Amino acid sequence: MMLTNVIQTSNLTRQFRKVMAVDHITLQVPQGSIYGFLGPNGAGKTTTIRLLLRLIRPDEGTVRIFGLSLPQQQQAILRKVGAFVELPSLYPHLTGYENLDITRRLIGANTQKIKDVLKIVNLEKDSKRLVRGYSLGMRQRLALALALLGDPELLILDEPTNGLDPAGIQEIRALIKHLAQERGITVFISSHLLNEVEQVATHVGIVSKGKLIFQGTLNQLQAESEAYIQIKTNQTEVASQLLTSNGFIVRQHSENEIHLVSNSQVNPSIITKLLVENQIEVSQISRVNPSLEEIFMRLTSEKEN
Amino acid sequence: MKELFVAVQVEVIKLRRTLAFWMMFLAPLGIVALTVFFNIRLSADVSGADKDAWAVMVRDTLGFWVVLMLPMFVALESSLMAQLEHSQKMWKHLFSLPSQRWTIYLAKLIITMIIVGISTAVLMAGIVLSGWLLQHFGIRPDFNWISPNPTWDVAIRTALLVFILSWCMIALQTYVSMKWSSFIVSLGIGSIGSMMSFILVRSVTLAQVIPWSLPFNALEPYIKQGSSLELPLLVSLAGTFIFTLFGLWDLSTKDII
Ligand SMILES: Nc1ncnc2c1ncn2[C@@H]1O[C@H](COP(=O)(O)OP(=O)(O)O)[C@@H](O)[C@H]1O
Ligand SMILES: [Mg+2]
Repeated sequence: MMLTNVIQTSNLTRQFRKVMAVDHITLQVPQGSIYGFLGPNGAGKTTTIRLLLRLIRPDEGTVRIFGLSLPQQQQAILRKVGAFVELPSLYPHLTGYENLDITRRLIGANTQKIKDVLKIVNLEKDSKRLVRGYSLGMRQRLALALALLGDPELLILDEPTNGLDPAGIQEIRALIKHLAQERGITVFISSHLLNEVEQVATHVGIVSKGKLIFQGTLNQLQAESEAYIQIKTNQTEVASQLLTSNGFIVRQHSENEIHLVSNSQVNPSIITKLLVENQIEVSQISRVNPSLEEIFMRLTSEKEN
Repeated sequence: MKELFVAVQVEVIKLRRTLAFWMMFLAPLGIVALTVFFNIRLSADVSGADKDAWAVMVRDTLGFWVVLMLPMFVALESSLMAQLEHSQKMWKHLFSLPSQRWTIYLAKLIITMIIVGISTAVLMAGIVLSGWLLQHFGIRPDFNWISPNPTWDVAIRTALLVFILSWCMIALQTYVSMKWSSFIVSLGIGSIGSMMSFILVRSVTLAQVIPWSLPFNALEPYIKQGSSLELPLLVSLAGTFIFTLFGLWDLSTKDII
C-alpha cells in the first residue's frame, strides 16, 4: 500500500518577537503512523501544533491535512481531527460527563459516543464526579476522551503524558497504540522524552530551536549515527596524534577518552597493538553503538553550537 | 443558525453550579428587598391621597436597579461568562473543534442578554409580589394602593425598555471581558461606567448617550424629567451592533496562545 501523508507542511514558520518558535518546518506524517514529535522544552512543539490546528497563523509556509488546505478548508479538516494542546482544557465545575456533553453537542455527535469514549479511557465510574476533584491522570484521560468524541482519523496530542506517574504513562501509551493499531487512527504525539517516543512511535521528527533536524523512522534514526570506537587512556593528546598519523579518523577526544570513526578496516586489536607499542597505556577499548538517547542528545546539542 | 442555537444551549449547561446563575436571582431580589425596606421606613411618597403606592414601588425598584445594580451586574455577569473560558484556557479546545469562532462569541452575548432579561423579569415579579404582600398583611395601612394591581401596561413596557436599553452595555462589557483575560479590566471598566452613570443620570442629555445610563431613560413615565426615548434606543441598538462587530472581529482574528 502506498503511504500518503496525512499531515504535510511546507516551510512552516512562526516568530514571537525575537524568538523563531517554528523555523521552516516541513513535516511529513504518513497515514497510519504514530509520529513522535520530539524535542526539548521550548523547541517549538506546541507552537507547531497550534499552527496545525490554526489556533495561530503562520508567518510563512503552508499546511495540508488529509490533502486539504488551511485555512480554506479548516472546518472540513477539524471535523476529522481530535486534539489537545498543552494542559487539558476542562470545566472544573462540571462533571466529566457534562464536559463531554458540551463538546458532543458542539460537534453534533450522539450521546452513545459519550459512553463509548468513557469506556475507552476507563473513566465510566468517575463520569458523574466534578472535574475539580480529578487527578491529573484522570484529566489527561478525559482530555483524550474529548479528542476521541468525533471519531477522528487523526489525533494530535501535545505531551499527553506530561506530569503522569509511571502507571499513568503506561496506560496512555497502551491506549495510543491500541487506537492506532485497532482503529487505524494516525497519531501525532509530541514529547520531550525520547524513551517515551521510542516505545510507541513508528516515525519520529526531532525539533530543536524551532528547526526540524531529523525526520524518518526509528530505524533510520538509529542508522543516522554510525558506531564508533571508544578508547580510554590518560594520554589522549599523544594517542590521537599517533592515530591520526596512522590514518585513523578521530571524531572527538576529551581528557581520558577518544572516539574513533569506525569502519570495517578498523580493528580494536590493531589499535591496541599500535598504542601499546608506542608506550601508551590503554585501559579500555570497545566498539560502541550509540543509544538513541545519545543520538538525540548529539543532534539537539549540535544545533545549539 | 442551528450551530448558534447549539452554542447557546451549551452555554446554559456551563451555567450549572455557577455564581453567574445564582446572581441572576439574587441581584434583583436584593434590590426588591432594599426598596421594600426603604419604603416602609421612609414612606413620604407612598401615603397621602394624591399618591400612588404602586407607581412609587415600580419607580423606586427600577430606579435602584438601573442606577445602583445593573451596570455592575452586567460587568460581573459578562466577566463570569468569559472567565469560564479564560480561566481554564478553554479557547484552545473550543477552537480546535469544527465550530466557527463567531458562534461562540454570539452565544456568550446572547446568554448574557438572556440572564439580564431574566433578572429584569425577576425584579418585576418581585415588585408585584411584594406589593401584594404589603397590601395583604396591611403592614403599612397608610400606603395608598389606588388599585389592587399595578398599571400593567406601563410597568411591563418600562421593564422591557430597561432591558433593551441595557443591550449596549452588555455588548460593550462582553467585548471587553472576552478580549482581556483578566477580570480586572472588565470589572474596572464596569465600575467606572457605574460611577459615571450614577453621577450623570442627573444630566438628561448625557444620560441619553452613555451606555451605562441608557436604561435610566426607560423610567420616564415614572419620573417625568423630559427625556425622549428615540435617541437612547438608537444609541443602544447602534452601540450593541458596533461593540459586537469589534468583539467578533477581535476573537476571530486573535492568536489562541
Ligand atoms: N505566546 C508566546 N509569546 C512569546 N514567545 C512564545 C510564545 N509561545 C511560545 N513562545 C516561545 O516559542 C518557543 C517555542 O515554544 P513552544 O512551542 O511552547 O515549545 P515546546 O512546546 O516545544 O516546549 C519558546 O522559546 C517559547 O518561549
Ligand atoms: Mg509545549
